[in-house]
Amino acid sequence: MELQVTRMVVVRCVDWPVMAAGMPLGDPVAVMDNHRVAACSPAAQQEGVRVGQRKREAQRRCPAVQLIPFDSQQCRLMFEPVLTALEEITPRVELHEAGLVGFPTRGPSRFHGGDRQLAELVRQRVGEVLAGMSKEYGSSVQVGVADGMFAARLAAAANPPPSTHIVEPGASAQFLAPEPVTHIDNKPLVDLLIRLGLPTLGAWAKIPEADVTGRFGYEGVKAHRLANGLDEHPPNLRRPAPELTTSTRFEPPAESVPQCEYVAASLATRLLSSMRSNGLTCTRLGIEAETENGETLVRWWRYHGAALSADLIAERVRQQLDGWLRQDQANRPRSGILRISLIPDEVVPAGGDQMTIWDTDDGQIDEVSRLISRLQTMVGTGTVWVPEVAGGIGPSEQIELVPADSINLEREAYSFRLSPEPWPGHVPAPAPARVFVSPARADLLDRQGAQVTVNGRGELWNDPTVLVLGEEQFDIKSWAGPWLDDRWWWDTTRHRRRARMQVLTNTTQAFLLMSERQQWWLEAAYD
Amino acid sequence: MFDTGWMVKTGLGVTDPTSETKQEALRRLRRELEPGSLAVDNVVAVPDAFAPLFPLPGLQRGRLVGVTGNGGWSVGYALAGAAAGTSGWVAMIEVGNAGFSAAQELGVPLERLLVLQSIPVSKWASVVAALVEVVDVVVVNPRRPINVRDARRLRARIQEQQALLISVDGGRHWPDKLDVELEAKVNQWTGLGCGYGFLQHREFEIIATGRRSLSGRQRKVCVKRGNGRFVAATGKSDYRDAVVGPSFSLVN
Repeated sequence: MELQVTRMVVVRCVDWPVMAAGMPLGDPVAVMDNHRVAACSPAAQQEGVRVGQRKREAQRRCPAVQLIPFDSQQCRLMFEPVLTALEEITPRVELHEAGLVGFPTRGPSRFHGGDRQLAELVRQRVGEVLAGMSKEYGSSVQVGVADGMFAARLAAAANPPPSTHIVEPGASAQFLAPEPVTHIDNKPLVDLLIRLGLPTLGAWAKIPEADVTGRFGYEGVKAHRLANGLDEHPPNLRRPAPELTTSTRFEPPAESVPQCEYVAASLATRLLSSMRSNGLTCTRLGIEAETENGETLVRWWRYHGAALSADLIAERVRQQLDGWLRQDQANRPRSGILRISLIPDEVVPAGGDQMTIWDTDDGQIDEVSRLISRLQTMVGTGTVWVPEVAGGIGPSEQIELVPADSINLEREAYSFRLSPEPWPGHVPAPAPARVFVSPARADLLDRQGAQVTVNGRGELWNDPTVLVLGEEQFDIKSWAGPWLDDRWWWDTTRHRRRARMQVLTNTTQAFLLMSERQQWWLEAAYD
Repeated sequence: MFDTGWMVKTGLGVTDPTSETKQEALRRLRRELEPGSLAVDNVVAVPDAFAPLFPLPGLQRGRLVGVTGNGGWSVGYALAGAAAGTSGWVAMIEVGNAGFSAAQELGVPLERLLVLQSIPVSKWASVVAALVEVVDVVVVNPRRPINVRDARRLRARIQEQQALLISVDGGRHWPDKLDVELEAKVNQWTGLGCGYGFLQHREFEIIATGRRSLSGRQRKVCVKRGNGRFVAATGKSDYRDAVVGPSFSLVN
């Protein structure tokens, strides 16, 4: 058993994004990411604000809540002093995300006289750093020690801060047993387990591993190992071949962070392609930077679940260098960057990640997500969009575009499977092939050449015979409508009253016209 | 008085005779499951009704297709939808004014669609080149002439990636002729009267000319569609008498 798991210390800075923004914990504060609460202060939590809530929901629970945007860069930069403090205890600090770090106990624990002493020391040190930022932050540290990262994380979160919680060696499975399966970071699997009547990690752990493999594939085995208090992947599954380490030298030394980031992106692409050709993926990556004066900084980044992309690695490089430059005089580099190395420290076979029973997608969504981030680095944000069902009467309202990076592509796919009921009064199918985002003026004339008008009861005064679109003039063969779209009639400022008509010209071109305030507009074409 | 709910009733009540029948579905599935020859493996699916346009049972991969004419957009969507199949992704680049509902009716998977807008002109070609690496079908609507160098680069990239590019401008802005050009023409619309009914069915004529896939010959096909996909037209119009009667006329 002991061979299968690494004993870990985990340090959690509770509500780190709030602290990184420098907000007082006594006030209700929520950090918003993508219109959802990413973190909130204890005061906000008391009022019922929870992570993952929508903005409106959070504001309803706590009207006084102060909303601030999530700034991952800031979070990461402010965390640098904590890392520096921990590095005095051990060199192997693994960063999971800003506010959550872990390291193996082996070594430091013996040096400091046991897990308990080590945990206390860590809590004290980190507490001092946080107190240095603001006095009240000092008590927001949680430390957990257990076999395996997963159990250590839960151990850290077991008691309200400031706390240390030690799970004795070999007791991780027992500690995890009463916890709900929702701690597993794999929503489809968790949903399935709950439906199968396995609400706790203990119940899930009791399933024989062979059955788990047969029924749930690789993802299932990973989750099952976690529930058993083991590491997600058996440790040292594969010793990374040294040639996987990719590095580049700058000549002359790089003076700016963007330059390093740019080079790191191509370096990362090289690393990823060489790992892919070996059928590997990386769960822990070291980024090492060396300056001309020989100063080096290594940071270990842990990846779980998130698709490892070149852009993500390049961003990590930038954050790491930014953080290094922001350090105090004694620790900051004094010359240009000479070398950057990417060290895949823990590699696992790739591809197994894709064998799942509940998800038939073959990793294409990951590929598309990578493509989206790549396109955005090429042409900037706000260029890649995906359609989403919105519902509405007009042809331009039924589907709206949302930025591709703001939504989860998998969930998105689901939303289309539920075909929504058509809205009452919508123009019937077939839908027009061209819908004009900004409709052009049109003239609809009757036999005498007078503008066709719709009266207050939604009837035509005169029959249309000629349609004029800019320079072009069409004879109308047949037509139908008008169909009224009278909305927000209860609200004087938003009230809109429109009528739509389908017309077919002698040239068998069909158009959808819209009339508002006695003016006709070309809204769509059945092209 | 302003209740327009009756529209929905008519929309749902009229059955669509152009939807795929059971026999057609079976035939299509059988063809899809057949072990293919090498040439067949190299083709992307086209809508069944379009099959007579192409010598192979489909359109060769890595081709550039232009669609034009009245109804050209619908033909473009149908091609994109069929080529994407059940798992492929589609991208629309600078295709302003696209009717997504129509695209959905014609089989374009909206859940696997990327829409790119406001791309700088200088980056247009690189964006298309990046897209075809991942996406199966790229729909473009160039607004200004594409220069010879970009066009050549794109053509090579699309061929290498075995993707499909559909240009809804009919290839007007390309420096040389596209591989296949489809010209659509709506022969007849039915369902719309004078003050009653609504647009329901139309019959198309599609003429394909091709530099490469069709070895210069012209092929023609007659197809029709209601609110679903294209189906082959059986010569004479089926809908001549199908104009909805006065029971559906305006009620208010």
